[in-house]
Amino acid sequence: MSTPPEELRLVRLIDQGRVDAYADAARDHNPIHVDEVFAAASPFGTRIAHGMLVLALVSELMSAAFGEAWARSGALKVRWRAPAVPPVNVSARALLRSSSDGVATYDVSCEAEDGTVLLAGTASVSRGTSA
Amino acid sequence: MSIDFHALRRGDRLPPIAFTVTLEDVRAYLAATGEAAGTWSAHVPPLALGAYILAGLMEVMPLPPGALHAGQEFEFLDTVAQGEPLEAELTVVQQSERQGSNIVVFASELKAGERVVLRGRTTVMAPVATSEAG
Repeated sequence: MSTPPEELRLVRLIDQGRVDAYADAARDHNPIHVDEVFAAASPFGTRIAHGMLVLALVSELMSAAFGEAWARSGALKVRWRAPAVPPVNVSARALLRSSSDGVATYDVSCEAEDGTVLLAGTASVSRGTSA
Repeated sequence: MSIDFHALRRGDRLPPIAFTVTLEDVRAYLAATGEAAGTWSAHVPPLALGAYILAGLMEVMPLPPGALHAGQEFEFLDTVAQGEPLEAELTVVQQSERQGSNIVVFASELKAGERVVLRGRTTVMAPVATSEAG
């Protein structure tokens, strides 16, 4: 069994076009994400990206590193800390915390380009079933 | 009939959510998130399953004003083939009020036939509904 990667990273622009596309794809048209007028009157004052869209970057990191093992034995635990206001370049990162008994555990986070932490938590995967 | 978020209490079970995820759904999801299709030519990206469960939840329970998806846990237990019939069951496992917010935690279990393919816990917070003074 190979050593799990120490660090995984990706950066992706989340703009309103991506948010709108995600709303259609994920069947989540909550107006806080897609309705400019509604969102302007919300506590955020503007449209925000779906939390699950931001989290998708973490899932992408893990599937890129571990393939279908991520779908068979992955686990995620996160809390959202701040909304992602499009357009924003989101940096997703996973740092290896431990690797034992075939399970790799990562501290995961997503940050906006100004350093705001959007979400943080852990991800783990059993590498015994890795492709 | 829609479910009132603020009326939910621990132990409440929501109506089952049945859905399938087609090849077209997967393509749209990957195009939206920006993930390459490589790994998911035959299977459904596991986080997409979670997204569809949440979408189903919001269909039966519109989110109240100011609601936030505050936390999420997932265990991905098996791959799901595109087009496979799925059914999710959600139960309220925690309900509390803190600092003016109603906090509800939903436990979810997604099955493909008899196989449990995903378990999750979803935390949603919303400002406590207040009655207007007369």
